[in-house]
Amino acid sequence: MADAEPTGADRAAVPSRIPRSGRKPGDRRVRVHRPEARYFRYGAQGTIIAKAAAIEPESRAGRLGFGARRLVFGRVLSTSEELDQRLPKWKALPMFSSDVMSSVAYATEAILVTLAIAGPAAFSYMLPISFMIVGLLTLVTFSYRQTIRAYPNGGGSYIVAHANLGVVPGLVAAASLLVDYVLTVAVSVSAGVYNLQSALLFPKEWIVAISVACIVAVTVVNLRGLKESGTAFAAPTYIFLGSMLLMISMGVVRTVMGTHLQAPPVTPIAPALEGLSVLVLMRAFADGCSAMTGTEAVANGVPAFKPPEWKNAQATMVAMATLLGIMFLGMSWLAGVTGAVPSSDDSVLSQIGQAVFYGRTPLYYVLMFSTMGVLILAAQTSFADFPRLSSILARDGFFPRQFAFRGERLAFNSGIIALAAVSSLLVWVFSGDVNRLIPLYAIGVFTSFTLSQSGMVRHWWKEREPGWRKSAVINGVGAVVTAIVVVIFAIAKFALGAWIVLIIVPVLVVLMLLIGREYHSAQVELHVRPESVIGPPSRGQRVIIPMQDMRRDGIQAIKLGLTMSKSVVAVHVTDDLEAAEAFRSRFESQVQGVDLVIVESPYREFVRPLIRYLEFTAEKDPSVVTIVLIPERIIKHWWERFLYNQSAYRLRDALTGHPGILVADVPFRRQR
Amino acid sequence: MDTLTKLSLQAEIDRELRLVDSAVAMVRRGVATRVTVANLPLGTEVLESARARAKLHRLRVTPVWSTDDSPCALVIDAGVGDA
Repeated sequence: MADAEPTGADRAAVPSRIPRSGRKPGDRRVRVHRPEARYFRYGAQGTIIAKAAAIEPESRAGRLGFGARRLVFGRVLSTSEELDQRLPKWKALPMFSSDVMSSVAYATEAILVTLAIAGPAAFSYMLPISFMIVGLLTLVTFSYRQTIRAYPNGGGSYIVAHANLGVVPGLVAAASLLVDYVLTVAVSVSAGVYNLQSALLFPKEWIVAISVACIVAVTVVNLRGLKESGTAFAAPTYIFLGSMLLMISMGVVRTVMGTHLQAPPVTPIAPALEGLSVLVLMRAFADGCSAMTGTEAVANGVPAFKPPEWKNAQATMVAMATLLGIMFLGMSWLAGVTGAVPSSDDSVLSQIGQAVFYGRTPLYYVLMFSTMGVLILAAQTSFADFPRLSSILARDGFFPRQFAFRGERLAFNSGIIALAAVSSLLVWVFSGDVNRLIPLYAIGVFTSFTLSQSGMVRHWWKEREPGWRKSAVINGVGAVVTAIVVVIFAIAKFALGAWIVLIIVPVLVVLMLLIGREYHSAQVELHVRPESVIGPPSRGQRVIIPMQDMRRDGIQAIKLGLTMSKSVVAVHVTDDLEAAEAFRSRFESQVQGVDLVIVESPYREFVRPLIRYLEFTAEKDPSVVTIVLIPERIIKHWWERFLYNQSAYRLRDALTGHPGILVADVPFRRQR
Repeated sequence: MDTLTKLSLQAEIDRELRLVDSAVAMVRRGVATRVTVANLPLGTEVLESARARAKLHRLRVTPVWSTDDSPCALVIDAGVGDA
């Protein structure tokens, strides 16, 4: 049978057939040699698929860097392995809820610190405020459960608000979340390191450096990909969860058995007394609401779950909210039972831990160290969501495009690195001081809650699916309540620093709108109408080659130029008349069919006269495209950059973007 | 001479004159003191037209003849005392 005509990919890499004689006389065999097989495999319908070897660098330095990256971040993953990288529920829970869980460690104390302003009698408001917060949490959880079902490909606040309320509300939600993710990293890592400093008593000046080191460590783990970061961070979160639940259940059991749990004596903080007022209660409520930051993380990260994504995400969301509710109420109740008070000597959690675990026993230390760990790892929720949100924004054209690309480990590297850089900067600017960072915190999250819930009301109104009224009511109540919380935040925390967020969010929105406008205008300019048929070129072209000497790189450019146009001109700029004359006579005798223009430059300037010449040439005949071929040596060593191509670089920089002029490098590879 | 040859000759003359025009513009605007357009196969034919164009801007065109039949070069400059 005759061989079929090779098509598509076959044409790209036709294997060579080498006839060989067999073992016995007269035997013949054919060895099919496919040198490309190491780098490519064949896909369906004439496509070829690059293997991992195809992306390995060839130079020694490149290979060294590639090897180092593999060592630190792991082997390169193909896009088809994306499903393997998805998270099962048990890994997704610590991944997306570390922020929520960790806030239990400081939210109760934050409420007590604010109530202390009104005197110890105000501590009785602790439990009612906690119930209000848990009620709000339940409402938000139910609302997001519905959002996950309605948006199974990821129902973050941005997507929901953008789809249902418009571009600006969507971007407000996105900007609020981005700001809060950055703050979450800065606050949680600083809080964790601060606790570590209390336990290990290293100098306070080290806090910023250690915090930044922790952020770098979390960044590296995240750059290794979703699955590995999920595995790495699961154990500390589960240990924290276990010790917290053990403390609460032991506290309940011991109290029911009639034991009077008593926190150790400490010196309570003594703030300036203001008396109990609505504003103090509002501030206490707002401080407690910081425990809810991160609740939206699961809804944002639905695509990170194993299939069926939305079902697993819903189950994880409910588990997370239930655990948060139990821990938060348990902590608040135990604070009242044990008489724990805010103090500069000991944290409220530490006091409760000592009261329940019979003093500073091993169980107490497990609780305290896992708390420190989980506080640092709370940053993980932001690392899971910030890159995902920024990739969605990039896909929609509101963020630089590189944020949409996945790296070697299928992680959104640009987002991860940007988050690490900005949060490290924040830690440095605020000297790792948690108290200065906390007032900026949570307002963004509640703004995004409100926009997301309002978007969902609009969604139900538009879709009118069975049972839409009930769903719309749940989301509507969620929208109203979270909007009230935003107002409470704005009033209670404005003077404490929330105003910074109220400035940054609109600035970010404007910036994203400007990026969007830029990308949109570029898209309009580059758009090819689907019905148009691409015809032959409508403009002629001339080729111009700068030549300073009769050299092989220049001759190579001339030969290439002659394949592109009949009008090829070599341009020689000189300040040496005798040398120019010698060059001319040599050029005339050796090069045929190519004009030579010698420009005398008595001021020893080479690049500018050449640019002027090109401009005049383009001006004279604007209907013709001028192609400038710049001979360029391929350099083998870094130091050769300083020896070669300097004029070529200058010329290319100066000419790029000139109307009617195209610049192309003609690389010349040295043999030795 | 057939029409096709005439047309291609005219196109070549036009092309060489455009090179002269660019060179004249360079010297006229002071970017270079002298510009040589070399390797012109029809340099002899375009010389008079080139001179006429240069003269409009008070410039001078000097041909550089070769000893054999190889293409000639035209040098465009202000000339001594002409400018």
